[in-house]
Amino acid sequence: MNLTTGLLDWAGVSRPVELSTISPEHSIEVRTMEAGLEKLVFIFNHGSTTHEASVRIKVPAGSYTARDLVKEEAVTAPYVRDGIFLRKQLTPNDVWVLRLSTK
Amino acid sequence: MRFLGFALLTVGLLLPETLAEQPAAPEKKSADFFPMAVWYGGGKARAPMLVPDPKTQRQVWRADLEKIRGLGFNAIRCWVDWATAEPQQGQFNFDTIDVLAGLAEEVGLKVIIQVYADSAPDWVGKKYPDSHFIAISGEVMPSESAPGFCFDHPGVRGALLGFFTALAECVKHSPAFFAWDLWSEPHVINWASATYMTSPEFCFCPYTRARFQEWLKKKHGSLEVLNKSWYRRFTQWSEVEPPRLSTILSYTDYLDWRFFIINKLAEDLRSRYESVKRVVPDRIATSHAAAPSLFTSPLDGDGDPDDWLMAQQVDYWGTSFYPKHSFPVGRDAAWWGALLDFSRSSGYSRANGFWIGELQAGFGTVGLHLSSTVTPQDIKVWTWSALARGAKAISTYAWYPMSSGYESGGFGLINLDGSITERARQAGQIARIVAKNQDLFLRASPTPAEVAVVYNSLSYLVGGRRALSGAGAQKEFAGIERNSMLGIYRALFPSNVPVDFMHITEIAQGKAGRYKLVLLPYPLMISEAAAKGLADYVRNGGALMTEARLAWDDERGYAKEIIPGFDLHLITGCRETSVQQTASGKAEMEIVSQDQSIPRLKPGDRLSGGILAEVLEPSSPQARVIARFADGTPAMIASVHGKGKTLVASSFLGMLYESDHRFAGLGRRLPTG
Repeated sequence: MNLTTGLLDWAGVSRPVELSTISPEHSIEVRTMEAGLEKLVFIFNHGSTTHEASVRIKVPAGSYTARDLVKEEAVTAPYVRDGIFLRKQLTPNDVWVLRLSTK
Repeated sequence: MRFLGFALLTVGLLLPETLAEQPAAPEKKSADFFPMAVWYGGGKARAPMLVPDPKTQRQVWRADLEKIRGLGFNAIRCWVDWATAEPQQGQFNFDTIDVLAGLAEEVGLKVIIQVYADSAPDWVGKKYPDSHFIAISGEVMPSESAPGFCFDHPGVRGALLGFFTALAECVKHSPAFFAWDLWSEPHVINWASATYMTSPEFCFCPYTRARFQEWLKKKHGSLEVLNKSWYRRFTQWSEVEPPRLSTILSYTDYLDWRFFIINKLAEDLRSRYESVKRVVPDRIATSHAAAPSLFTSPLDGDGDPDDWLMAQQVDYWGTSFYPKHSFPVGRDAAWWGALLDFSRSSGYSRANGFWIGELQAGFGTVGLHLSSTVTPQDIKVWTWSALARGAKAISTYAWYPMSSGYESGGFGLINLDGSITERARQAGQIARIVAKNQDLFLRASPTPAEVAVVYNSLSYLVGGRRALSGAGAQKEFAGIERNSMLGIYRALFPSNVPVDFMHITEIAQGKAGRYKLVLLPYPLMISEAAAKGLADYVRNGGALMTEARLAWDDERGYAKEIIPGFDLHLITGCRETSVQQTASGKAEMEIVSQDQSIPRLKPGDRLSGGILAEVLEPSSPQARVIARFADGTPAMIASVHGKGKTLVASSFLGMLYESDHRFAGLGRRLPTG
């Protein structure tokens, strides 16, 4: 039972982010920012163990590129259903910072 | 940085009416530069102190600036203190700024100037001997480098604003000069505590009293109206003084006093803003809180500001951000998420962003209280957490550890011997990334929230003047307002849904409609205008969840005849029949209805609230009892009204969840970081 999750459903609050797997500690935090057609995505592992973050970022249908801003490399970011799917193993206190752009 | 204890009480804001009284706010201003700065004031002197003879320090300072630039930072935040910069009236010495701005330009760094006016020159006190701060007890507050003198004294005001103008004239042609911070962690009293005083509160000097009288004239219009409001019998305005007592009659006088202080802080910030903008209108002017209002209290005798009101006075408002400060156990991601989202919500209410005025750089110390180690990973997570919420500048505090005082040895990004740490390299790496993608970081805004947690400064004032700690009927429930908001935020945190904090004034202004869900914790005292805003919000299709005793008192501290007050019982479909403080401090309730409108609740689920158990009674055919207390009385009622819907929980769930995470059934907590 989770009252707050129920309240979100009750009010019809949309979820801009969905996690495919939930860590035992609920340690994955995802934040997004928007700049026109681009997005900044920040994925944190606040937990004490390594966890695979499997995240879907809701975006309009289209073709997107994703770039890891820390490693300065392209990231595979397939469009699945109504969002961009991102997956990465994150060690404790790791942060994955991505730039999502339309092609 | 200002010390904020674990037991720190929550804070406060302002009355809706007073927000409306503010002068026209500055226009929104966007920057074309994203400062990733570190505090560096020239050498190893701790802020607000300065190293003497700055012109002899060029070589050493240049080497420091080159290290800062080499790591990846693009700006420094240096400082100037009034006492050093104007040692005699009208004789200005801005050598430190001159040297640093020149070196910064040569090295390729921008400069943010932090102004410390609380460190006032002694000549001010000698020239205006009646300008000292006066405590509620009548004791005179000396100034020993700090806290300076009362800004309400016309001589002090003129001298201080003249100092700001002179400083602006000095730096206006500096190419490196990018922005101001006009007031670090604003309070009536700063950087000094009179430990020998009991429950000090400021300022009770004749000049603040006169200003309070003028404020009251504007608010009440006439002495007759004031007398009626305060239940007093003044015969002339000069008799009116700030209240000192907690009486059994009424505390409308105290409400006026606290909101006067909150407004005074905003007006004082605006005075500083205008004094520099007249000279350098094109440079960004900012200020930052010691902590967002979420973590302070309008009852604090030093005077704490209201974030939303302060944000209206400057180009960017912001906050200090010390996740570990001097505590052995650091705060967790939900805690600092709430801090940042609170600052974001107030900052974005006015400007396209908010600034992190101070970000903890190294382990903290206050005397023998030492924090756990600050790691490079901490710096990474904290910095990105702020950037992920739309911060438009970060100033890491500080380059060198504090060289003196009760914080000596703490808060440094590097070591006091000048050796570079991994923390510094981590901070510099992030600064490089932001600089490389500056345009994107400047343009980007956080994904809009559909959920808001209401911040209500009136909730702190229920009961009027009270001691902030201890026990007894007249004492504050420590932190209940803060914990009520934090607990709800914490429960929402794992959902990864964006959450705003919303000032209740914005509800009164009809701005709640942008949210699908409004959560109203600890709603004991609200204004009539806010109540109307809530009713309109629900009527027009909003979903409102409120805790116990909604609108018990109005904005004057007067009880409403029916609770929820202001006819909100007609909106919520229920009314209170009785209420009691529970012996255990908890109120257990059980879900009794499989209500399809609240999908995840099922019969047998248990919830817990704190402090109060309010028994509700359905008063509308559309109201449904969702949960009951152990004795079978209704504890949670859902209803619909107009196009919207409501849910009333008759205890304080958020507060209990924050203070004791095993309870409340709101969701799961993150581990402590």
